[in-house]
Amino acid sequence: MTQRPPTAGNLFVSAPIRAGFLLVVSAGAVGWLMLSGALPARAAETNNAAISTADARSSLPVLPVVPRPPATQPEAGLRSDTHLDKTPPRKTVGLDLVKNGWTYNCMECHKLFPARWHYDRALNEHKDIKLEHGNNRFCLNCHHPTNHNAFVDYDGAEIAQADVVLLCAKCHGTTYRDWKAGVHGRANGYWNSAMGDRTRLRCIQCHDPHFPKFQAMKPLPPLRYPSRAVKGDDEAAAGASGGHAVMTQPHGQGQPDTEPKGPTTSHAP
Amino acid sequence: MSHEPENSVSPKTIEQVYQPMNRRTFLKGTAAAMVGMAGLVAALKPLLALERGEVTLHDLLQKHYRELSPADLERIRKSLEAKCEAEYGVRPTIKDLKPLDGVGFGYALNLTRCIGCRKCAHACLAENNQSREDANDIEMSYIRVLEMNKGAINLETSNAYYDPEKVPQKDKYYMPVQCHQCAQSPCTKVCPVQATWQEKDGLVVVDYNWCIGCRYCMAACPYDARRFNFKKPTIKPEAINREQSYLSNRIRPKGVVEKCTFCLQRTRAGKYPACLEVCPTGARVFGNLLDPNSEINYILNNKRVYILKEDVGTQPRFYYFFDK
Ligand code: HEC
Ligand code: HEC
Ligand code: HEC
Ligand code: HEC
Repeated sequence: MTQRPPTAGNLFVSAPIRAGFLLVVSAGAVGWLMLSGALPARAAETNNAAISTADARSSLPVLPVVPRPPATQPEAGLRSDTHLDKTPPRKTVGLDLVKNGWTYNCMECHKLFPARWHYDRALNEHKDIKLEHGNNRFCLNCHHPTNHNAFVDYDGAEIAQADVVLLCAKCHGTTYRDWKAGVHGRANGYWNSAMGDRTRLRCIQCHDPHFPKFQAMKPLPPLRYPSRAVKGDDEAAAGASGGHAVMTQPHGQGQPDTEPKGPTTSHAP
Repeated sequence: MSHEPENSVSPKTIEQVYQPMNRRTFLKGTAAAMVGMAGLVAALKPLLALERGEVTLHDLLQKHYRELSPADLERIRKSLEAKCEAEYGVRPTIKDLKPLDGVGFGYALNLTRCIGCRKCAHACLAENNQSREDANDIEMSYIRVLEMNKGAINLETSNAYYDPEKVPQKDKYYMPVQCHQCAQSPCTKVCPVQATWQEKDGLVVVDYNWCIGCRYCMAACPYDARRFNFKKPTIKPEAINREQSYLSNRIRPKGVVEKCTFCLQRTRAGKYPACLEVCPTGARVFGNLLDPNSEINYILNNKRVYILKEDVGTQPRFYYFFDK
């Protein structure tokens, strides 16, 4: 079904052997690779095989393509509203790690070593993650120390991936209250629950949990008036008070610019 | 009623005037004399359209929306559907959704959240069947997003045409403005033909077939929320929103005043308005003011609410609020 490194027990294998043996080079540069046969099967992969085949690394053509199971979130809004772009600001990635064409679930590595609260250096793995979440500076404020496939509640209980809203709720109570009331974040679908259902975007569909500040974006174009109001009407431009920008430039309608002003080859005999 | 006189022209009179050759020569011959009679010319204009087959006698004699019998309305809706199919190549369903019982709409917008991305304004174009193929022809959106300087709510220094690389900009905040569906609506009061009125659920609507395009309402509106259409929209067939309603997003005739109806075609069917559906920040909150547990009442009860131009006494159903 899915492609996994062959079973070799939990080994620390040196880089050259691993490369020859598996054709996997761990770019994460940790001196180990977990090769386990006793892995929990991840059923989601087959369902979603079609969705993200683009994750194949082009530099490693020999490796099989492993689709990254998308972190499925409930669909936003109504299917019939095809003319409205309801894409949430952020694509969730879920708790899976893709490396060198392989998909790992967190515990495949993490069952090898205990979690640590404090690091006096930068992490050797997960280097793409820069945590900028205010005073919330510890990975284990959110990730469960013994089960990295889940999040941690304030009492040490696990919060399943699907309930990630509860994770945020633990520290952002007032925002969560607003969210539940439908006032923070976005609802889609039916305002009238008697007539249909509504969906609600989850926190991480708008905020990156590691960098939660809402990201700036390019605005859509301003509501411009059709060109008839902007150009093409000399009198209007001259008469209008705002027309000076137009007037400083000679209008070319009468005599098209046939005389080349600089050196040009287009008028060679 | 004030609009009776127009209806009192009997079909027979029209039929008499409607004699192409005669009328054309008549118009030509009296062109000079017409100078002082511009009003009459304007009054005869529809007849030119009649001659060209753009309108039918039925159109000219159509009654005010609120006086139409169900059968008339049914016929008109069907003929508008056929007209849209003929002109745009797609047959829509034009419904006539009535106000829901026990519903009064309210809309609130979070000024702390809004980042000015204009997605709402563009969704408005799509939902309401407006031109949008040409980037210079998108002025008909019923929503205008104003870029404001932080520190005050000063409309005079606002800018609707901002276009930076990224929003939000430092020192700016953004304020989308659309129809406030005022309880004391100046626009409906000034309309000389009563083509615009407020419905039971609070929505201010226009009978686009009754509007004469005089634009008094636009002058009266303190929120600049009404739009006059100088031309019919240019839309590709596949871009047409086929879920239409008579009082809202059906393709309007040229030369009438249009406005936001809180997406009546959606909201009276229980759905959220289009501008809310697309908002990436979740700044927009919509609901039923008459339901004490609605989101909109949560805001009125728990947040700092601001009413734009409260001093002019329009009593809007559109509120701005702040989070912090
Ligand atoms: C605010 C809580 C929070 C903190 C703090 C946090 N994470 Fe996460 N992390 C999450 C959530 C929520 C997800 C799931 C993201 C998704 O589904 O899009 C996640 C996903 C991940 C993932 C898998 C997705 C990916 O981006 O590859 C890794 C790896 C990860 N976190 C590592 C870390 C590390 C390392 C730290 C500490 C530097 C950390 N996290 C701190 C909440 C947190
Ligand atoms: C390829 C193996 C590997 C996978 C898969 C992996 N991690 Fe890690 N992770 C590591 C290593 C190694 C460290 C410690 C790095 C160090 O010591 O500098 C680490 C550290 C962390 C930490 C810092 C706290 C701690 O436990 O010491 C968090 C949080 C974390 N990983 C979360 C995740 C999550 C969530 C996932 C699943 C998306 C995941 N990791 C998958 C190898 C992995
Ligand atoms: C362990 C507590 C904790 C958890 C769990 C947590 N946060 Fe935070 N969050 C904080 C702290 C502390 C701040 C900084 C507040 C400040 O600086 O005023 C913050 C700030 C934020 C901000 C404001 C950032 C900014 O720069 O404007 C956002 C947005 C946010 N968090 C979203 C989230 C989301 C989404 C989640 C769930 C994935 C989450 N938080 C989970 C503690 C937490
Ligand atoms: C529809 C998108 C969206 C969703 C969903 C969403 N937020 Fe936000 N959130 C925003 C925006 C936009 C801001 C304001 C921008 C900023 O200050 O970064 C914001 C601001 C915040 C802040 C900063 C404090 C404040 O109120 O300004 C926190 C904390 C926060 N959100 C937490 C959450 C939590 C927790 C959830 C889930 C329960 C959530 N958000 C869901 C869009 C969203």
